[in-house]
Amino acid sequence: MPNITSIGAGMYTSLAYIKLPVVEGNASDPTVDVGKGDTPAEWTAYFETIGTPWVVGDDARAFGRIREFPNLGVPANVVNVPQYGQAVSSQITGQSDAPSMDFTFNYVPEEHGEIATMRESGDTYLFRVRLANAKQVVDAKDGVNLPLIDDDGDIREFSDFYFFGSVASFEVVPNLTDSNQLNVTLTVDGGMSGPHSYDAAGTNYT
Amino acid sequence: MAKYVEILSSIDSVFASNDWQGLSIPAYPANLWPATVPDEFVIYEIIPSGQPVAEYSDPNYKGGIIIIQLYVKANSGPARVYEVADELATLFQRDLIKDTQLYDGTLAIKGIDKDDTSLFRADYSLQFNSF
Repeated sequence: MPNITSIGAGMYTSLAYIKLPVVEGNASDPTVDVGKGDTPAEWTAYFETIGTPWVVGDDARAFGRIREFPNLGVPANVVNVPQYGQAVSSQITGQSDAPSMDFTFNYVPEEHGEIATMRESGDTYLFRVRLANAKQVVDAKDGVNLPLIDDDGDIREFSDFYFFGSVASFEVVPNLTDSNQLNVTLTVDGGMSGPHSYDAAGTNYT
Repeated sequence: MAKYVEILSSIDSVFASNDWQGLSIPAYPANLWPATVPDEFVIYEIIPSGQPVAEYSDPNYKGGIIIIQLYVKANSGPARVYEVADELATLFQRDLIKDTQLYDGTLAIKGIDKDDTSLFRADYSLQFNSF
């Protein structure tokens, strides 16, 4: 039962990325770079090694303390086409604009300094949004969410979305009575891939 | 990681401090009424029922209000209440006590206490977030 099978609030949704350069086509070596042409299963292997327990990848990092997620996906670009002699025009689907996604964080300068460095570099990275309705295992070192096996031996459901993108903006918003916030915009290179998930055996990518 | 008892202990620590002890105003937590009622004292209660700061995953933040009941002698004018409120504001207002962040306080005069007419009561309230 890999992907989420019921409605629910995604309160344990998380964002992580791989701190390796991105190349076109396939990766030359999983310890050196990430390939845009790799499969979702190969992207997963950068984030975690499937087993008991799961082990977080050496190059996986998390964006912690997320307050708001954006819409995930590529918006439609519907174009109205006049039809001669018809009372109502037609519509076609035009080329969609690549999305930019705005995330809001509860800002902790020490913790989020890495995001500013990523914005300054302008480099592209592999990102993963893990949609999860139930508590996951959070790796103590890098904060990456790993699947959790409950007391019945069942894997907690989750659905992963992958995209390649870069950090475009880094804006700090001080607050008087709320937590300080950080607004970050990710520009997406291409589309999103997902949902993907797998079972305890590492199969069932969808 | 803010537990309920941690919020309580953070406020306890202020009333146990030399700054407050130097004022010689007894302070009691909620559910503890003095056996011998002093001429003036405060009772503080923490109500962590506010909406905590929103965040994904499992942050365990708390939000709410702290109400400090001020009791002074009745029929002695309002000045003493305001003096004690100023002392409380100095100790609490916009302060960060351990992981508990307090905001601006408000003072509400309640008048002669219904249960003990020898006392005059005011409530000093502060919103808080605990992280």
